Amino acid sequence: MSDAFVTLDHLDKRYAGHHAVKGINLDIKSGEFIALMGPSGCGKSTTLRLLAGLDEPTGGDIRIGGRSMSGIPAFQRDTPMVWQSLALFPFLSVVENVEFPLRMKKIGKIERRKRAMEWLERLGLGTMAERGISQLSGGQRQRVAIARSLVTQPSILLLDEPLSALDAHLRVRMQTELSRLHKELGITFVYVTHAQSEAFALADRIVLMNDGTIQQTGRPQDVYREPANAFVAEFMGMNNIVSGNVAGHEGTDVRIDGPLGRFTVPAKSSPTSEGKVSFVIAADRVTLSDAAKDGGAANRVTGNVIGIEFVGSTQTIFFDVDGQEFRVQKQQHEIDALDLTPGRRFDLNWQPQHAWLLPQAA
Amino acid sequence: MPANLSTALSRIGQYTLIAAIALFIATPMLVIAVFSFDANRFPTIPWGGFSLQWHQAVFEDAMIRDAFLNSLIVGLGTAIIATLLGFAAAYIDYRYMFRGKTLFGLLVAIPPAVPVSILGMAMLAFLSRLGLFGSVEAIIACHVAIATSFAMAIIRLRLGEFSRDLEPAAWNLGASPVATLFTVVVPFCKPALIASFFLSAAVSFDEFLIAWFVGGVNETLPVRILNLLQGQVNPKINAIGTIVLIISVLLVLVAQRFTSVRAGKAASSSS
Repeated sequence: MSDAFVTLDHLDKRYAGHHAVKGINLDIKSGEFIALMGPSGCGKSTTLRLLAGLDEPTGGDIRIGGRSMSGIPAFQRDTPMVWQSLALFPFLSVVENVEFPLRMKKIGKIERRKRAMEWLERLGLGTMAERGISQLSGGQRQRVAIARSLVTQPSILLLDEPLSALDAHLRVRMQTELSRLHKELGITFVYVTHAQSEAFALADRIVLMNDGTIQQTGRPQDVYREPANAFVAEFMGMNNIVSGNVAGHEGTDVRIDGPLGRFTVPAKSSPTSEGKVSFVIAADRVTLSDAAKDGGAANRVTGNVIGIEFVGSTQTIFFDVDGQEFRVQKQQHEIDALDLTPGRRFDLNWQPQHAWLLPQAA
Repeated sequence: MPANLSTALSRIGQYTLIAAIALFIATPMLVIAVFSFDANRFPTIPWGGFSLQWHQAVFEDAMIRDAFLNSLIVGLGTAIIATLLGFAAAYIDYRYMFRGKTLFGLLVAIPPAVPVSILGMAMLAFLSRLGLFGSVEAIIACHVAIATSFAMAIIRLRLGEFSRDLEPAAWNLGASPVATLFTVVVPFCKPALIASFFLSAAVSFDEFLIAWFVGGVNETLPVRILNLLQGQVNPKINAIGTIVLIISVLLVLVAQRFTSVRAGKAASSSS
């Protein structure tokens, strides 16, 4: 066997009338921080529930530490999970919540209080131990939930969109905290999220799912720059997809003719392309210039401004290029000098090496 | 100013009305309580002076003592069994989907809707065939049938606030399903369990008709009161009435204390 700590082996889950997870395979290394991503209903949360034993797979197997989890009920797995709803026990105090898993392991009163208090101190909640859950803020509750999951010193921690209930400011702070905990503990984290920002900030590797199947796994920046297919390119957001037919090869490049023009694209992802292909150009790789009088240059399209979206100092400008929408992402200072009133025409240029040829779908 | 004046007047009117209604309801009970301490044999005005003799007579009457003991046993038995059954029924309703669930719910909810005289006669006919007629257990069984409906309603209401994630979270943290029931579900329902315990006890303690039908020679307190009344006008009745009133009010007050507190408050006060 490989050095995988967790193995999903043709893992399959069918509900009545819904095939949630379609025979996925995945190896997770010990100590890895994995983010399961995808749109809602893609099967990421189901996969996490299967890992925790809260649902029974209808096919395939899960191995943790080389041991098959088949037939092992949730309460014997030691795969603690941080819930989106936190699922703290409202009738127990903070420290009693953290003690709960130790109590279930029949650890003595004094010992379990000591260990729970250690974790509360570690997460800065030492003075809150005797409080009720309802007296805590959102961020404090989050920490209690994390402490409760880690107090048994598990070798894996599951997190199901744990930060989605927090406001943006708190979310970033909790991300830092989770990242720090992961480094200190060196255990495996499996993190389900639909938020790209969280996955990018935290994960060593992301697993992008859609419709019950894994679309791509890899380092976040690789998945972002080199998407495996059109779905990944679109899910990653700031990508423009251009289609056309292969017109010829130039060394390692492919020439593509399409309704939007002629383009040159490096062919490193799929060297033998024929017929209809698509390539991706990231929104932040596009430069703008006033519509040129002389046409015909490669890797350029011309479009009209539709509108601008502001997110902090970053702006996304939407263009209409012969009926297709193009997105261009720029820093505020880069476009100060440009007149971006809707209807204005611009040339959208990019370097050939920044285009990414999508592997051809079957 | 006239606007202020008219709102003030209408407020005074509202309070007066509410006070009048409350007084109308409370007066008969107050009269009983007041005259139970009257030295006169017959309740007349003016008052004949303060006396505890009728209360003392109540405590010395062996039949009343037996009836009180019976009421206590029946009330306690009913409270325990109805709370357990009510919890089980509420949990099943919360946790599981199954065929005939509507019928199941109806079965639990319907006894209080049946006229007690019908219920009493039916119980009498049924229990006498089983040979259970005339026993304290028979009264308990009948009271449980009625009180379980209330117990289930109270506990089910509480379970409505029980997050669907809490049980799986407990399993995830190493609690077996049985351990989860006792360390998570029951503690969460504790306020409702206490409330339904006291409410069931109150329902049983006050119930007359069924106890009269199926109790035979085993009189509960309400049955004893009626039998006393039928014999003669006895000033002891006022004293019993006062005692029963106080106990019933206390039981309902305790029950209410636990149903009206919100989840958050209950959580922090119990921990």
